[in-house]
Amino acid sequence: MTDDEIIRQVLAGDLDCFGLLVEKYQKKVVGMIFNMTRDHHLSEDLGQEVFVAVYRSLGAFDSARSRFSTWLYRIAKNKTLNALKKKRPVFLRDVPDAAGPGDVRQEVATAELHAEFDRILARMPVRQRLAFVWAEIEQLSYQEIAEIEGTSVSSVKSLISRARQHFQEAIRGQRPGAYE
Amino acid sequence: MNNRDAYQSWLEARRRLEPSAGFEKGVMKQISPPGPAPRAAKPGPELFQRWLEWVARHPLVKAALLVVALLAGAARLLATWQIMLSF
Repeated sequence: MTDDEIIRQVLAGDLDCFGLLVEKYQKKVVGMIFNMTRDHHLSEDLGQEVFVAVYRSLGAFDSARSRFSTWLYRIAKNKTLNALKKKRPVFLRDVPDAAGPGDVRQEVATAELHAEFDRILARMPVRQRLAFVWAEIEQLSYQEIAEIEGTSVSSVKSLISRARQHFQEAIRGQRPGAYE
Repeated sequence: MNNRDAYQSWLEARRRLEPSAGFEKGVMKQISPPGPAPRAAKPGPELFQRWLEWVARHPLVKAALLVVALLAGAARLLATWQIMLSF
């Protein structure tokens, strides 16, 4: 069943059909919110708020103007940005001490790099971070991101390219905490 | 594992994030009757909204509108200045 067919069923009174939409999109919505806020509780609460808001305004959704997914992600984005304005700065876990032989040392090194990538993501300007999360983590197309953001594909490409540069520096070992 | 592999594994870890098992139930509970039903579409300033969205997608048009607004503002200032000078 397509999204539009599901929406028609929900609007006709079949509430259970809405569960199909939740099931289909919950991972991307909650994943995006978590990667923006780094807060599990907040991402689940906001994710639920997003779907409740979507349900309540489902009658206003116009499939001729945008895809359902684009509309849903735009609502998720707006709720996330509002939450980020109210939220305290993100606390990221400390880098573990580098110690131990063999595999343990390797694991520590990888964990350090992951923590460094988390910090890079957290320090990015919000629009750049959001574009990066949509494209690289949630794997949306540039076209869809442009529609969500109400901007051009070239602007999206430029945001993502700038975001990638930060990671490239860490990958090349040009940031403290990153090494080959 | 080199830095590039670590980056890929970090991306994979970020993609694996899943909502908790009760997430969908939580949503369905909140929207179940007697909760509010979906609203009917409200008529709004649709044409203007579409125009704004179109402008937002075209940086050149946005820049041109900004220039026009600045020129209009400058003309207005100049006119005010000339009126003041005439006194």
